[in-house]
Amino acid sequence: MTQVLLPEINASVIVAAQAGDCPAHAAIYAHYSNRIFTLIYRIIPRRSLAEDLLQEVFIEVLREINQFAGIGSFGGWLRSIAVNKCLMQIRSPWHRSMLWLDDSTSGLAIEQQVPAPDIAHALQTDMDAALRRLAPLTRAVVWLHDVEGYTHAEIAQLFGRTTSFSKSQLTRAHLRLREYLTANETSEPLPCPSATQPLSTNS
Amino acid sequence: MPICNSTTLDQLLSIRDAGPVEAYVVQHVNTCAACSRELDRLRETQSLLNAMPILAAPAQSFSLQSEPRDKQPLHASRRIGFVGFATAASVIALATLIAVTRLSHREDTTSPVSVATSYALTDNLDFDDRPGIASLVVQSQDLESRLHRLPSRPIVERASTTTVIDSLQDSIQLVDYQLSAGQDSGLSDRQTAQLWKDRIQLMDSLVKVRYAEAQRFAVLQYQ
Repeated sequence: MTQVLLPEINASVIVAAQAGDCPAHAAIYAHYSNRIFTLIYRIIPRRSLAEDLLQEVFIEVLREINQFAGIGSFGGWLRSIAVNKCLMQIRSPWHRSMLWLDDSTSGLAIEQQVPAPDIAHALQTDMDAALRRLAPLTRAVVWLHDVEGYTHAEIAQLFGRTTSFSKSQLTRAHLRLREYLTANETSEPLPCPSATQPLSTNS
Repeated sequence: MPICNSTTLDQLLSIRDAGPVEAYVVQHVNTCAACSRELDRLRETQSLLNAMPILAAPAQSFSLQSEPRDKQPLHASRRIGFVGFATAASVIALATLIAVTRLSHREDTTSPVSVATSYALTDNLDFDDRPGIASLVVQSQDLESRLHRLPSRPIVERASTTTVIDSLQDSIQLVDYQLSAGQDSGLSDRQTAQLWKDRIQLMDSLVKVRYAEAQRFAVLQYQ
């Protein structure tokens, strides 16, 4: 599995940004902000924090943009900064002290404006809720591995742990996601023809 | 976690991600209905995760001002001036530190430190009562205004005092953040009242420390 590439921005924009061109800075923000915000929000599902982190990421990117030597993907460089910010946030005592606030998920959904609920949307909403309920580390691992395409070795390096840690967190994430999604299915049955029988959970 | 007698979730995840798996496991999964169904489910979960929508970032909320790229090195004469100023400041700081240390050993019997003592908190607050929270807010605001009425902090100060004040201010900021974030996530009245109570206790301590600091500084000035 390889990392999912972000759509690249024109190299001339990066060069202009490195020269201090403000419109180029704005162009970089416009090009990457949605994807980076999505990444941050999926790992830290608290809107105010995610917005703060997004701002920090872009301030750091634009401040350190001269350190980008043009080798490799600019989007990958930007994403690595965002991921590091998220992990620093997860590790911080400040973040841990805020965890009790995450018990309540009311008023935090930011896709509430999506109209016309259908099956696909209902499944995504369930997944969104299930993802929020994971422990921060577990959520980060499953998102980085299953969506961003990080390998277990890369995740292990990011967290300063072993690949076994990454694999066990991924396994735990899928186990929990299934529990939450299955519980949701049984409490509010969705008209989904592909719904399968829950597996036995004896371990 | 075993899916059936021969396979675990770890192994199915490895098969899904084309990772290293023993051949007999793959053979088993191909023939076992439960394992195949679970493998499909893992793939479905991954595709659901990947299908989650890309969210809209907030509008550009920081000003993109170009900063000076390279700071100019200090001119030689300015550098000498800076060193001189730093030396003088160090001497003053040392002298003040010695004086403050001596003064701190004295007993101050006429200290009018009664600024915040009227805010001794009662432990039997009625947390279910909204006016209770309102009165806590008023107390907090009152302490805030007392704090603002204190003279500005001295330029030279004991490190321990500064550390205490900084940590109190950090703690107050944390409480403020929790209160503001709590508005989004629906804090209960009890949690809100507890946060306000914490804030008042911290503010009370801060006012006392700042008052003591200001008093000590005033005594030094008139010596």
